[in-house]
Amino acid sequence: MSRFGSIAAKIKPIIFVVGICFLLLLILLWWSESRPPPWTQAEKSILNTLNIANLPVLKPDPSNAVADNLHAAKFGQSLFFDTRLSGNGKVACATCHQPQRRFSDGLSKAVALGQSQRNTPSIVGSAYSPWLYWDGRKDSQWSQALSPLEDPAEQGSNRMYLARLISNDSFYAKTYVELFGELPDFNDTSRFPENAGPMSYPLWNQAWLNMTAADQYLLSQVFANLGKVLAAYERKLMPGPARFDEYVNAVLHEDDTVPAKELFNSQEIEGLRLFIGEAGCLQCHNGPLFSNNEFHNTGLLPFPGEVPDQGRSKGVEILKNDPFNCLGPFSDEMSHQCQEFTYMRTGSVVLGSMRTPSLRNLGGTAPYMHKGQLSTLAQVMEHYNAAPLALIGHNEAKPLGLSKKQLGQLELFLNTLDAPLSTADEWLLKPDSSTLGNVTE
Amino acid sequence: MNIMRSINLLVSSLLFVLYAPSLLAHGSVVAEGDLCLIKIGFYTSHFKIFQPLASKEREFCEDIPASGESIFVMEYRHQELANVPIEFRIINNITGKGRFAKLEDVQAIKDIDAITVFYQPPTIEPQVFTALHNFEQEGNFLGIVTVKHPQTDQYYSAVFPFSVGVNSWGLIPLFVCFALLAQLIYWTSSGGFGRWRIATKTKSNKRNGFVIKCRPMLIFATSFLLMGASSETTRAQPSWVSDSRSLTVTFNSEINPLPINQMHNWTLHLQDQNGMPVANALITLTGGMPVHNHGFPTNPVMTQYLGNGDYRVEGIRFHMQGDWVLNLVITTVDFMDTVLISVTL
Repeated sequence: MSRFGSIAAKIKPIIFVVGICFLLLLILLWWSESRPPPWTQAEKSILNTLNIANLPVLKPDPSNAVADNLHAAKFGQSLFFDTRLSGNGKVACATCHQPQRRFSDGLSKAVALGQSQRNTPSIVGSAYSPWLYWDGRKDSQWSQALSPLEDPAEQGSNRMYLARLISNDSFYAKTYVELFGELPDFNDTSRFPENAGPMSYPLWNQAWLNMTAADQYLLSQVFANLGKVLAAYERKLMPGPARFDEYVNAVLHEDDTVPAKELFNSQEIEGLRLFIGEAGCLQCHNGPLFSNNEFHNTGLLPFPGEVPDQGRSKGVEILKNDPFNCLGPFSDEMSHQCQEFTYMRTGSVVLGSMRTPSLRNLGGTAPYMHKGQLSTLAQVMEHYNAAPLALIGHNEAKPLGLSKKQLGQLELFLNTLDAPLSTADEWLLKPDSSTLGNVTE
Repeated sequence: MNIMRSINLLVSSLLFVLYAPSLLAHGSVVAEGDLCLIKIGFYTSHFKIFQPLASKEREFCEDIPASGESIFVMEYRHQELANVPIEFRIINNITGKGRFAKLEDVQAIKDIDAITVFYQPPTIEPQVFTALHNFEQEGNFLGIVTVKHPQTDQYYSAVFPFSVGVNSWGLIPLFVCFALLAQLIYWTSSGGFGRWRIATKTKSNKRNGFVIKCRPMLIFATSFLLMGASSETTRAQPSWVSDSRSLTVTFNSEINPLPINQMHNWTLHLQDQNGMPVANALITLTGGMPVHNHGFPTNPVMTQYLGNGDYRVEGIRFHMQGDWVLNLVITTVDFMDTVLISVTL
């Protein structure tokens, strides 16, 4: 018994030393595991393409002569928050495009006068996209802004009512005349009924059909100009630099004051590595706005109670027949080039595809996808990981085979793209009526 | 006598097995290779049914497992379908013909509206046809697709019987009934009834001769297993019949399953109606994705006759998932024939 005790006393320190060594080894292993490898030069150049500092200067919109006019932007801002622009006087653009929610509404599908067909997209940065709406059925911000005004499920108004509203409001009328010249005189009720507009309620539509083509044109001109001032406002809504951009700057300039490792933890770094590599997200979500602005079918299930949405293939047909498209009579594009419109991909190759949304500022914009089918980013990650078969057309994404941990890392990375807008606060509020007309930079 | 009867039963059940696969394809919806096709007059289209709420993107060919929201999709193979109005109707299957109901049976129905559960008026769908119906009850239904001829006033209809939520035992219940009936006949004809009367009187020797008595049942069970095995093998190696019905084509890819974005080669096997290999044919290949309106990214070529009806085809590459078709033109000194092979990646 005593002999056994003395052996135990002898090997005790050995066990102790071996144990310590083992622990140290474990710590070393954990430390080297948790330290992500440094970015390669090729990866660094990819990161740089996503940097918001590389967002090009916004090009002029040749189809909208007042796109960069400050007076027009102020006018547009007032219209954007003005509920009088709706059929029941309660719905403004800002009802669905809420500034505090990154200009979306937190619903699967928008609810205004009725329920709209799709999820409300954010407006932030949309001036960079050649296509608007999930199906790209509009090719300019100003043309897009017109549709909700007359859509019975959205603002449910009509262009006759809107034109008269503008001419009866002193600030609106004054600014309109400054920008576009004299407003037509709408007092002659034999020519201009109370309500009239195409494609809306049957009574309004009939009143519209009863008008002369010349008067219809006059009204549509005023209507298009309202879209153009709304677009002048929307062009101001731009994303600001996020923690991701600070991280990229720190990685690219290693001598910077803030070391990169303080900006991103190892999970976020791994998420970013997956994003630009294995997960293949860059195929569609590329550039400083994380969108190629193209149309892709990603095999989403239809909204309950609906047949699969044909997306772009229908959007193209609507766009071709839209009088407010780039080549139409209300566009200010004089050279009639409209290259995006002229060379767009059409037909069954785009069946079931939807426009790639930007991934900046996803926080607060759930639910996601064109019908808000997925309520969390985790579900979105799982959807792309599985890449299920599409009900119509074909899913362009391939199954990724990523682990739950990796999907979590991707999600953590996406959260680093949240940031306040770069737009000045005064543009994010309903303008004070006392300051209307005071234009400042 | 007993042996003769057993042979008879065996032969008839084998005949049943051989006949069964053709029973499985019914109405105007047919399985071709991996695809499900609907034939509406001269038009053909890919056909699929989904129940996204219950089974997400799982695809059904005709029978659907449960009541509830169901989406019918037709992706056109004939592009003419993009330009003509398509009418779609679902009715309760009251024809009494069950799975064998045909267009004539539907035309014989006097008041079709009274048994219509879903109707979508004729509409032109340039890209894809979709329809949604929420089946409130399980049961047996008939789908009717009606399409006009692009020029004339001729109308074509496709009728396909399908079941909703009715358990998908397939032919098993029918089979069990047959087996029981055969057993009963065998039992009575071999004096079973007399023995039963004696047995009820003496109440003895009940278990004696159990195996012999159940012989027809055993034969049916064996042939049913055989049937399962035979359908399994056809699934493993799909074959395609040429347009003149005189050739059968199978293929072996050197990479399985068929890869995406990878150049690889195939061996095609040609045999005639008698199962004899077809030698020294010239094969040209074209193809692509009819649903996506594009051809192959490559130009595959038949490079060598390997003997025994086998031909080497090189340069095949599929660049995306989906339904692909290969059009084969087969020429020998005696004939020329065409085959359309469809594969899904």
